[in-house]
Amino acid sequence: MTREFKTGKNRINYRELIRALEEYPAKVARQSLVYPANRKYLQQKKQRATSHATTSFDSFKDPSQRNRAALEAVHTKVSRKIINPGDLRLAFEKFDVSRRGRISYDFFMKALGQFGIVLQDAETHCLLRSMDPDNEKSIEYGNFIAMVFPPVRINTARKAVPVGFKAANRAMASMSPADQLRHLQICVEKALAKGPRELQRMLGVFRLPGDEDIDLSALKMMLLDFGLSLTDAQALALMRFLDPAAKTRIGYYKLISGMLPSDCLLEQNARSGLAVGTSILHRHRPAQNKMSDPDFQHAILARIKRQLHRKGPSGVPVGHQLREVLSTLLCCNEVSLVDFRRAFVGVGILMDDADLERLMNLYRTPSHPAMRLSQFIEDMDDKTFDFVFSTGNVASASLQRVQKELPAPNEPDALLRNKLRRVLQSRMHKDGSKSIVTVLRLHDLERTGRFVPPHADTFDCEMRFGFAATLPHACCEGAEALRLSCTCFHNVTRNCI
Amino acid sequence: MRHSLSPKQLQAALFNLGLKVESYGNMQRLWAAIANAIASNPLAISLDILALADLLNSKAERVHRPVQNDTPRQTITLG
Repeated sequence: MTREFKTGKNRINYRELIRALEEYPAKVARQSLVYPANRKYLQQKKQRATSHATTSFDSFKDPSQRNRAALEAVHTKVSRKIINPGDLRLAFEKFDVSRRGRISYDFFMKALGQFGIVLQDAETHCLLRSMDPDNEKSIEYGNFIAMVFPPVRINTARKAVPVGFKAANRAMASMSPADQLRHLQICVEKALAKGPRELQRMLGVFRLPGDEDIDLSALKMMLLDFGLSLTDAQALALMRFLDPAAKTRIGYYKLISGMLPSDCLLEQNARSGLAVGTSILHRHRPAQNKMSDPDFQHAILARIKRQLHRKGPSGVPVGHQLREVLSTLLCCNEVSLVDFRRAFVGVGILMDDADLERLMNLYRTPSHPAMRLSQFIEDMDDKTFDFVFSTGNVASASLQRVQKELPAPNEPDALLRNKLRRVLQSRMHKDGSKSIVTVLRLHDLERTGRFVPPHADTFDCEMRFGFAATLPHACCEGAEALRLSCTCFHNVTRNCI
Repeated sequence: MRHSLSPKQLQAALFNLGLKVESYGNMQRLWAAIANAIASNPLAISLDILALADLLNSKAERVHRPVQNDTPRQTITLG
């Protein structure tokens, strides 16, 4: 590049050079995969911009430049619609039933279509050719994710910053397992700060059942969600860094405990009582190995509460966070240890299995062998719930709770529905606006395992429908007519839900 | 494919929204009331999500109570 700005022997026109560089800041260059070093390409792009030419890849005579322009267009389209790599991988996995890491062309395009991404023929051709050089008629989607979300490098401030391909690949090769782990922890912290369920939505490793061993290829695939595309040797080194005893597989618990920031692990602190406060610390002497049940309950609840306050999204009450991650367990007749642990990992808390089991036992009674989740959440935050038709043990409840209760439902159906609406709407008003459709959809999704792209055009349709569904009762007929008359729109909406 | 919720899933969704419906019997009663309005069948095993959202978002319905002169008025005692 400096050659073009040469003005004499050992002389460069720096003013021109800086001006040229200023026009292409690093962020823009990264987004469009353009590097200032490729001066000819920049000039061609400039010419295209000045002549107001439409995107025509044929204007590039050099096939490599044509391919590059097509891939650039694909990258721009995809990165505009999809923010995090986990969403993209989740979409591909829906079509990859056998978990081979490859899907056919059709499924690949369908997965992109879920986000409302439509590629031109030239783009599709170039993309498929570059992603499938051996012409196997299928695409290894990990490579595509790595292309769309370039790897990251760890700078001296220990913060992960995305960079272009070349620099990132150089940095990636030199990243030590400790750097990689630090990067994983940063990603987890960011996801935790966004709210409950975000961890599971953004990072596939937190969607696993939680009682399995993970092999090398699966680990590599999981790490793509973090923007890390590692070689086999690097992945193996990371695996052994997390668990020195691991050979080719690593236990889920070991992997997660390494990925979560160190202050998310409640193992030693909760058991010893050190994290709870001086009162517990004084009562519990180190000579006593085991805390009493009330002390343990007090200690662990306080620790969890503090952790959620500190790590969770700001302004969201503790009870709401727990309510969101534990609500799925209500559908199970019996909450298993693995499910309970997985739910806690969703809010960034990892506890020892023995502590978790003990906590669960505290919320079981001989008459009620299943764990009382709502009781647990209320102990954490007593303003989490309103009561509808409660027949619970009112003697143990506060007077305020009793007053919230509604009488036994020997009333007309319409009255019951009105009460439900009234309580629900007041509760939603207290909690801030939240779409009922979204919450209902969450619980259906977990049964059917269907995927809803969060940033797709179709999602906008669903939101529009959500608006129609929230019309007042007087307008319900209008909403129904609108829904019936727009059959196509309705189908799109339903498919997206 | 239908997108619907069973009573248990509706209970979980209400739990997520901050409403605790305790006991199986109460949930069954509530389900029957909702299913009557949506599917005209209190024994429906699942209900459409969009219809449920419509129902829960709509305004209060008018209720016509039968006049019962000969039964004493029910009182609720707290505590």
